[in-house]
Amino acid sequence: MVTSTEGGIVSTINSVAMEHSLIVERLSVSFKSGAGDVHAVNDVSLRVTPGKTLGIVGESGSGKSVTVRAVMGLLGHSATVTGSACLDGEELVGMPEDQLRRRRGIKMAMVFQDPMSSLNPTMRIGSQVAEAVRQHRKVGRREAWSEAVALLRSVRVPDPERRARDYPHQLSGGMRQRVMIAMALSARPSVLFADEPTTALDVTTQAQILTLLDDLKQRYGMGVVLITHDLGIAARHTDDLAVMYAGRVVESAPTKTLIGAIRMPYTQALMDAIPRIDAPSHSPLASIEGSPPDPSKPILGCAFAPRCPRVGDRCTTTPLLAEGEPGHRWACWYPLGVDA
Amino acid sequence: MSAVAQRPEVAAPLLELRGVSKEFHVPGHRTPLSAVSDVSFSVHDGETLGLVGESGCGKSTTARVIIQAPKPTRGQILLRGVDLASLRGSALRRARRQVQMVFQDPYSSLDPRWKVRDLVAEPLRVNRIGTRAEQVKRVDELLHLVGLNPKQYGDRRPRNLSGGQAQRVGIARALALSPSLVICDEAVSSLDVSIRAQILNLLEDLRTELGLTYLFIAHDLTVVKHVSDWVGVMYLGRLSEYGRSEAIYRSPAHPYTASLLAAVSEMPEADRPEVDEIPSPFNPPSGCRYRTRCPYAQAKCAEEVPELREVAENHRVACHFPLIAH
Ligand SMILES: Nc1ncnc2c1ncn2[C@@H]1O[C@H](COP(=O)(O)OP(=O)(O)OP(=O)(O)O)[C@@H](O)[C@H]1O
Ligand SMILES: Nc1ncnc2c1ncn2[C@@H]1O[C@H](COP(=O)(O)OP(=O)(O)OP(=O)(O)O)[C@@H](O)[C@H]1O
Ligand code: SF4
Ligand code: SF4
Ligand SMILES: [Mg+2]
Ligand SMILES: [Mg+2]
Repeated sequence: MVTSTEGGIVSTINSVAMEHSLIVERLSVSFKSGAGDVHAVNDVSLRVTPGKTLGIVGESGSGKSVTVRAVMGLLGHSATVTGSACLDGEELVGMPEDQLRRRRGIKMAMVFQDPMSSLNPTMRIGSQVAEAVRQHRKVGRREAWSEAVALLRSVRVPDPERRARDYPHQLSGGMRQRVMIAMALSARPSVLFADEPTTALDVTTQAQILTLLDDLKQRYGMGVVLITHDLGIAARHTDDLAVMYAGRVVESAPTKTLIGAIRMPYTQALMDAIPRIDAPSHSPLASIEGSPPDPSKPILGCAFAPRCPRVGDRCTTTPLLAEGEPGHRWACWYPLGVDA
Repeated sequence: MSAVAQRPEVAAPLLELRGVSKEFHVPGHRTPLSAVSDVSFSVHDGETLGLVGESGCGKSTTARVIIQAPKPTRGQILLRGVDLASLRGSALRRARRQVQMVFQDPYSSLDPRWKVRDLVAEPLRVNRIGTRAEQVKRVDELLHLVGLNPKQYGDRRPRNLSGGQAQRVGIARALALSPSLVICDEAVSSLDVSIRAQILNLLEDLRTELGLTYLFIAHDLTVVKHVSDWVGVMYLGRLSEYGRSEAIYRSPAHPYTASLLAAVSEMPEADRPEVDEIPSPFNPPSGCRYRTRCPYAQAKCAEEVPELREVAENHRVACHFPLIAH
């Protein structure tokens, strides 16, 4: 289902088509459910630039995965998607499944959170990567195998000729995720969605894989959407940031701008919950008390209000995402560091 | 003789590993895979040892051999001074009860068909601890302890819990048998930042409240710093550095630890060699296993295995050319 967007927005799409490979405008997703519809994503707008990484940050359940799955067309029939998602000038929302399937893999690929559930336990990892290669290009088995080995090497699987013959259970968690990334990269997509790709990995591997993604995105002009709940990683490895809460983007800006001057109390709370390497052992952490609102219940006013330390009178009215400073948008009545 | 030597039952660390190795024979490979190699460390009551290192360095295998599933290939695991390999039958079961694990993925370690109440009661039932009524009471107690209201959550099944709530159930299960040592294997790694902060605070509260001792495995050095008194750094199955956590984080002595810290902080890092691949655990490098990636490697590093030796009080490092000489 597609809703028409306002004229102003449509015209900007054309003028910035060269600049952005993916433009998401006012995307909303709801799921049918017995206990009332689940409004998982509300009015989300995002832009992905070739050769750059957009980070989407937010707590569990904030709608990060549903947003990218909606763009990829991976949500089932229980989902109602409205708004627009344009990939290289083509509207994806409402595109028939067979056409979407062709674009997945070639134009857009995804690395998921959980590598084990996406790997076939009865197949050698080399064969699985080779199969991914053969889905996108007509090459012989031998060539696909050697390409698979090369891909495994590029994601730093040690001794790739040998490890290609291993089964998933013989690999540690980190190695399995490298295999998944090799499979996603096999088609050299124009946008790569990475949904918490390094959450389970150690720091050096994290750094290596994010650096690898940096290399690849620059070499192939690939746009990367990196989903993470770790604002620290996002600060180091993204060019642009969008912070999500309860299905909405609540703050967005180029990463340097945003980290340099956080405006949304929620973004600040996410930052404060990260343990600090320079703090003494056993010091208590500032955790955000309570939990995000139930997406099947209507929300009145700012969704963060029940947990917000700055909540005030105006917060009973929903604050809209608006540009408060050049390139920096936030949805808050009482932003940090801004005099009222 | 010192007072300590005369009273070994008091002096013995809660857990001690002596020269522990674990090799796996993998079909299709001629040489065994060396997952853990000659690891020795001890964990004392009420203290937390953090174990860090890259994926595949043997952290989980170390945890698994401690609970004897599987048994180590070589070396000894002593619980309060008693070698676990010397125990059989009920004595072994009693000893193993002392050590419980909390795993990374809260959902996959909980049977989806069971209610929270039954999941937490299971260890009590299996070990036939208490009457039915006592078990019910204990389950309520445990759920309160991990911050779940038994009335609200007791009858839910795992799919109706959030990730943080499911992990609280995992922790309640681990605490059911009143263990002395809790091994947290990446227990907070899959939780989001705010829930991770809540669970870390919970683990810290439980430590002081119940006098728990933790072996805390994580790949996140910041999280490990947060909870640990001692830190062990593993590389390709070997312990490369071990000591008080402040010392290691302030002045890492092993080049590998320095590179791990550089990845998460603004610490300067020496230039890395062009080829930076983790060597295969089937065929680890001779001498120092880190030498293929070490910017300071010299001829001696290929010839001699560096022993773990003291560079300062409570600070040991396995390197021929440590970064600090105190
Ligand atoms: N198929 C579905 N049917 C109903 N609700 C769903 C469905 N998929 C997701 N949701 C709900 O939509 C909301 C957003 O979920 P989403 O998976 O996007 O969160 P997320 O930000 O990716 O969180 P996490 O960090 O845990 O992955 C959640 O409340 C979730 O329960
Ligand atoms: N059952 C097994 N059979 C064969 N090899 C194994 C087995 N279990 C682990 N290994 C290997 O032993 C090594 C150590 O694995 P282990 O899971 O202990 O690492 P880890 O430090 O916990 O890694 P991660 O951070 O990815 O969890 C790896 O090379 C792994 O592939
Ligand atoms: S609008 Fe009000 S409740 Fe919402 S984040 Fe801002 S101050 Fe807090
Ligand atoms: S022993 Fe040599 S190769 Fe190993 S860490 Fe020390 S300097 Fe580097
Ligand atoms: Mg998600
Ligand atoms: Mg592990």
